[in-house]
Amino acid sequence: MAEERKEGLMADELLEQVVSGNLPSTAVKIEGLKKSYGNRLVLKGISLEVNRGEVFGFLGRNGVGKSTTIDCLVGLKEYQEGSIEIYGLDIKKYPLEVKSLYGYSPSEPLTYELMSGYEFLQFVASSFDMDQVSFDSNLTFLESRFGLSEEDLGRRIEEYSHGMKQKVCLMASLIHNPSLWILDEPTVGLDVMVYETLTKMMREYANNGNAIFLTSHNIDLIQDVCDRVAIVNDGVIATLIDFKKEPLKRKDLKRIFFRAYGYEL
Amino acid sequence: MILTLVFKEWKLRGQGGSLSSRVLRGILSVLSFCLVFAGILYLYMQIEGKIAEFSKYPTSDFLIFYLFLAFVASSLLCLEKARASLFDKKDKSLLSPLPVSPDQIVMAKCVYLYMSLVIYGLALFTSALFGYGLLHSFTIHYYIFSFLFPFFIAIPSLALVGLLVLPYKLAYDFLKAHPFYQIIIASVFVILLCFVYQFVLDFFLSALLESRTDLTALEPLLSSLHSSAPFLYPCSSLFYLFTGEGDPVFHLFLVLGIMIFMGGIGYMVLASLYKKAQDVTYEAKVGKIKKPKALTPTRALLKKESIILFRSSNYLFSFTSLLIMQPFLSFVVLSSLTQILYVQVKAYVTYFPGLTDGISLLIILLFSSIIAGAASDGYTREGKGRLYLRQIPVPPLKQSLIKASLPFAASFLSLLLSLIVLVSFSLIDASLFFAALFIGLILLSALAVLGLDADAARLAIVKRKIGGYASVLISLGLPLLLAALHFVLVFLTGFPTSLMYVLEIILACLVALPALLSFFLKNRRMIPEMRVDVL
Repeated sequence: MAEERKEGLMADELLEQVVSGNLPSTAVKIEGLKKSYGNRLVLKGISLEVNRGEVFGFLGRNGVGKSTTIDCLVGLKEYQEGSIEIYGLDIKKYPLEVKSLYGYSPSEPLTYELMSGYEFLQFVASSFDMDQVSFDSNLTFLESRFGLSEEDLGRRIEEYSHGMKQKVCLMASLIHNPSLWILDEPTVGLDVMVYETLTKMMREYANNGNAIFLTSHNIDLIQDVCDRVAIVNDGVIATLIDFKKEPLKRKDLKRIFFRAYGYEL
Repeated sequence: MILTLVFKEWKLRGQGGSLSSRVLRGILSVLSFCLVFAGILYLYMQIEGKIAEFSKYPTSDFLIFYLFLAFVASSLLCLEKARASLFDKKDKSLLSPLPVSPDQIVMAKCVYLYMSLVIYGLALFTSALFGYGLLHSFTIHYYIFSFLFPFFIAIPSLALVGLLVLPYKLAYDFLKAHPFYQIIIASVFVILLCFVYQFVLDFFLSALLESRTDLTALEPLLSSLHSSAPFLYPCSSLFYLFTGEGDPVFHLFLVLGIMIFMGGIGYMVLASLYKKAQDVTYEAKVGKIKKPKALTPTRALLKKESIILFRSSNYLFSFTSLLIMQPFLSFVVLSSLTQILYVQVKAYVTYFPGLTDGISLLIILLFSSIIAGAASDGYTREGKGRLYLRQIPVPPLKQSLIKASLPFAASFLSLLLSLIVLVSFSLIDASLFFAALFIGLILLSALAVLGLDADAARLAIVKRKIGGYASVLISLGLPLLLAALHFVLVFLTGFPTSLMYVLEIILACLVALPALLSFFLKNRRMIPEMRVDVL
């Protein structure tokens, strides 16, 4: 009982720290994550950590549990065992508080199609209770970075191309100043210019003391921007590479990836 | 190849799915077809029987008029199918790399549209022609003709669709870009429907109650029908050709001419639209763009709700326009019913004055609950944006209450306006006004939350066995239960009216309260347990 009360007090202190912007160094901590669909165990004990200031790549071929891990991380799917913490806050204990800490861009651009781009961004920013000054400055910054004009954003999203929808989703995921950016296949449908801008933004974002959790099938993107990479296979982390410690492996990522699944290039 | 393309078209327009769903849909379609066929056959025979009793003109005039209306209606119904089929960009992009010529594609689309028209026609035309044949004891040849009639009439119908599909598509795009005009058009349409509804209601009730005075008032209409029937092409010529009325050679050439000329024009128009007019579209002008302001979370959620509810064409006819028209609709129906009740069952109404109040209460509540029910799928309405219900840091209960509040407020406002109109025209008294207002308030609040509960159950990760039925049960059951109680209390003469209404309000509270309590207890789980990948 006393132990539980002590834990509760510590969690409250941590929450106060996080709310006041004093974030711990570990952005994401996943421990022993297990998830099954019926009798089929998809995640068999995923454990990983993502630190502030780094871009973490999460690689894997189709059907190995990559998207399920992200869905668990952003609270879209329940998991049976293990724990997930975002900046020290357990996502099950503090489901609302952690939402303000991350921005999530799904693999398929999901928006309110009947809204204009501006209305959608206004909705997302206002739901996070942003003040006018921060909203204005973030919006202006993101507009220029993603190359969307006022006229584009004044039109209904249903009239947008796939790439434009993807850009608006990326803008929405950053509009509320999150400290963790969770990106699921962010480059699908983006033109070369925006692709370059995005990779540059990801580096800047991490260099400013934030963290990025990135999944993509685009190995070039992963080896260009990531600091560490986890390759997931059969529901567990099969390989973990730190490019800072092993810089030569950056160029060799494709071969390592294939080897993780028993293939040789 | 064309056959494969026709099958593709059939599957693409919502006729695909798993085997079980296709079988179920097939059974339901056959049942609906049989119901419509039997309904039209019965109604046609009833109406023609009534007309034949006092009209001096041949009843074939009425049949031709009906066939012409059905011809226009089936062509209009097919217009939407033609728009969706011809201007489907995804379909076109999927077909373009395949070794299929545009002519084959157009031909397949024409066959698909022709088949749709024939199916509409078998329900709309053949049923009435059968009814006419049964009343006039025709030979077997006539019934064969009745069966073939939709196959012939579908050709000029298809031509009409071909001629109208491009203007219709442009109008569709224009209205899609202008929600305000959508509401105006839908409201005008609903007003016209109200008038037609009132006319049909008066006519049927008069016919059922054997009121010759009301039917003879239709004499001028039948006279004008008689003079215009021969000119209602192509239905009149086709009908005269097969029944042998008039000059058969003239009608044969006229029918052949119409078929070949219009069929040819229709095909050419459809073919050229498919090849050339794909990109003809209404470009919505973007007005003066204002930089958005940051709102409070509550205001942002309310704004989002109003956008997804009132901008969506899905709710235009089933909710938005009906909300605007509810005062008018209630007035039209109640005034017709009251008039008929006072004329036809005067003794009952005089002896039991509360009887009409009970019927009025039932109709007011049924209208309100049915209209409100059309907007109760609040979570499904989110569409692809459902992800954000789970991603924004707003408590689920707050989100759901905001979600329920907008359709509830709109429905309640419409109910209040309806009651003000009814009380102003002395169709209801003050006590019924307040009783209906309170019961309506309880009913609409219960429906608002139960509708969400049912919707959440449908989208839940783990399906709940009950949940979807409670809202339907209350929306129809509560008004009927209250009306039943009202009638019982009315027949217990001497029971005070005010006490009657108090008892009804208490009953409504007893039924609705568990629904509200269950919502507040369960709602914390609803959004977190909702699948966001079911779009």
